[in-house]
Parts: sequence; structure tokens; C-alpha cells
Amino acid sequence: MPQSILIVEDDDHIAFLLKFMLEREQYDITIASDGLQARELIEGDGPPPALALLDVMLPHVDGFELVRLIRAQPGWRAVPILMLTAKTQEADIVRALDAGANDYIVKPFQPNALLARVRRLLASAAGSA
Amino acid sequence: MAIFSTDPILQVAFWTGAGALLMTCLIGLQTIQLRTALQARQRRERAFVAVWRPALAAYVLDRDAPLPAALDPRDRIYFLKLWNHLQESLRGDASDALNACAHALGCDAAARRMLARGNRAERLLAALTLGHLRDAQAWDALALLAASGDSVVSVSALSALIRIDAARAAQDYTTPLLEREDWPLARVTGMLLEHQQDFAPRLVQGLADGTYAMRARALRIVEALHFPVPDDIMARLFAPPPPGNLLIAALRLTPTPALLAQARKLAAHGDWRVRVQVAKVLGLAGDRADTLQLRTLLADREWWVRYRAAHALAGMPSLAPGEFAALRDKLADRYARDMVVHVLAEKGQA
Repeated sequence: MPQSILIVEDDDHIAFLLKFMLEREQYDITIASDGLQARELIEGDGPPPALALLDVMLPHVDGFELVRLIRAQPGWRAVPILMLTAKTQEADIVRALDAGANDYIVKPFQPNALLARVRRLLASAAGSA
Repeated sequence: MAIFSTDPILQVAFWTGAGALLMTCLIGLQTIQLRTALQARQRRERAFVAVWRPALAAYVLDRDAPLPAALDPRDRIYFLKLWNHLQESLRGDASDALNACAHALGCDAAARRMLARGNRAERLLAALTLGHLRDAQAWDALALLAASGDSVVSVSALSALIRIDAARAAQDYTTPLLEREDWPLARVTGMLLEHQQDFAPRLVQGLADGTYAMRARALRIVEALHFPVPDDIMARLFAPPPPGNLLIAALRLTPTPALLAQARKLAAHGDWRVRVQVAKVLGLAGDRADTLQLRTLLADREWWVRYRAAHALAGMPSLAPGEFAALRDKLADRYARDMVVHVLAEKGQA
């Protein structure tokens, strides 16, 4: 059964690209296009994803708040979180890791580097389960 | 009863009303036509994106992936918008793949034509495209645009020039970078982020040789990019003492022993904003001997100086744990004591 990944990204083209890349690797993708939609998923009754890929700058609820919500939600606490941060916002990286994210990838990104981090996080999550 | 009155006033009123009605109808038709054209363009763009976005995504990941047979010239703008959007988010092999795709479709030549003959929006899109393509043939045309008075167009052209040849751009454009206040600092630092080795020596030289305004701007760029400033340049920056704004900008640089030495001399400066920065530098780079000056600043007449001095003392690695809290009982000045209590409370140690 394919592992599921939640992508929270408000940029339609980038969300498509991420979905396209990850589906090629046989992951099952759910996209939330803003923070509110993501919050509904996190606080809903559905099963947690195997990994969450969050943009930092999101409408309504930002990526840092989503990390806090994920870490506070029973069942979601162990979900590995990979943050997408802008290169010019170095402070975001520290803030994201402090908030509880597992790793980050800087935009502009190399697709292969992103895929490698996704695989590593999923493998280490499976190893610690 | 006659349909048309012979009364001239009524005739004027009639024809005015008829004219207004006709104009309203024409404007209505024009609005409908514009709306229809916009919807048609949006439909065409959606259809274009539905075909090309997956094709580009596949090509980015695997250059053997097939692309659509041809790019309709009417879709070129949509292609360049999508292509630039992806370029802004991708780098490395993925960015090279996008460049290969654009070259194969003749977008480099098309962008050069747009740069020469397009409207403002097209020239902006062309500059962005040619920068990503690192198109050396476009250098002269982009250089002309970089000299234009239009801030957005000129800074976009400069961004493209830096992408094409950063060393040449550093040689030709460091002075304009420091002179043109209309080029947003955030945009400028973002452009220089990946080309620090080319720009750092020239910007640091600008700190020594530029006018006060240029030095102030250079300081803000150097601060944002964390360029190291050699000690001799640092000494020239502070002597003779520059205006307060320049001093403040200089004291905001990453602290070094040379900066610390300058900061120690400015602890009694007349401008309280300078004293705030002095307290910050002493706290970040000072040693135990600097606690004396910081204790003096803790009793400063300005709240922000006292606040920054208290934070500097609280964070000094050379002070033993509990020493800052113990200061509370040793200080004679009531305002200094209050500030220590305030900062202790902020840190949850009150």
C-alpha cells in the first residue's frame, strides 16, 4: 500500500509539481492549498499521513502554526514534517526546527534533493515505529 | 400628435438622450466584448497549462520525457509565465532542464525580440527569462534597460545581468547599486545572495570610498549579507566620526574585534540610538571589562539604552550565572534596578 503524504502549498504550480514528483515515486498525495484546509485535515477524523510537507508562507494559518497543531494532535505527533522555506528567510529555518519540524528544504529546490529527504524521513520514521 | 416636436429645446433633449443611449449601448457592447475576450484568454491559458504543465514537470525530472510537438506563438506568453514560475522555484539540474526546453522552443530569440519591441510587461517577462537562460547575447539590451529610470524594469534588468555574468555586473553596477535608492534593498540583497564573492570586495571598497549616502547603503547590504569587513576599512569608516545614521549602520555589522574597539569609544555618544547599538556590540563581543561600561549604560537617561544594556549584561558569557540577578541589589540608580528586574522578568527569572 502506498505511503501517504500531505502537501500544504498555496502555489498551484508548485503544488502540482510536488504532487507529480511524489506520485511518480508511488506515494499517495493529498494537497491542502491553504492553512485552513490543512488545519481541517489535521483536526479531522481521517488517518494521519506518513509525512507532511509544509510551505511556511500560507494564507490564514502559517506553516509554523501547522507544525504546532500537528505536534499537539494525538495520532499526528509522530508524523515527520518537512518544511519548504524561502532562501532569503534564514530565520524561518531555525523557527521551523524549533517548532518541531524534522527537516527543511530551501526554495528554489532540487527535486532530487527533496525526494531524498522525503525517503530519509519516511525510512527513519518507519525505523523508529 | 407628432412624434418629433418642432420645439428646438425638446429636439436637443431628444438627441442628447438618444446619443447617451447609443453611448451606453456601445460601452455595454465594449464591456461584453472585453469580458468575452478575457474569458477566451483565460480558457486558452487553462488549456495551455493543462497540456504544458505536466509536460514540463515530466521534462524537469527526465529529459527524455516527450514535450508537445510545438509551441503555438499565441501561447508563448503563457509558456514564459509558467516557465519563469517554475524557474523561480527550482535549481540545479531541474533549472538546466527548463533552460534546455526553452532553447529547444526558440524562447531565447523570442525573449530578445520582446525585450527590444515589447510593452513594459513583456520587457519585464523577457528580462526575467533571459536572466534565467543566462543569455549573454542580451547583455547590451539589458544594460540599456538597467540604466532606465523605471525602477521595476531597471532592477529586473540588473537581476538578469547578474545571473548572466556576475563578475562583469559587479564591475559595472556596484556604484549604481549604491547610488540608486529606488532599487529596493530587499530585492538587491536577494540578487546578491548567490554572488557574494563577486560583489563583496567592491561593496566593501564602497564603504571606504563612497559618499555618506553610498556608505550607508553599502553598510545595510553588507549587514544583510554578513560580508566580513577588513579592519583597515572598519577604521576608515569610523574616522573621522561619521554622522549618527552611518554610525548606527556600522555598529549593526557582525561584531569583530575592530568593531568592538570602535564601539567602546562611542559609549558616551550624544545620539541615544548609537548608545543602543554600542550596548548591543558590547554584549555580543565584549569581555568582563566591558561590564563597567554596560553598567553605566544601564543608568542611561534613555529607556531603550537601559533595556539593551540590561539584555547585553544578561547574555554576556563572561558573567557567571546569577551575577546579573545579583546586580539588582548593587545598583544605586533606581531606573537601572528597575530595568534589571524587567529583563529578569522577561527571562522568567524574576
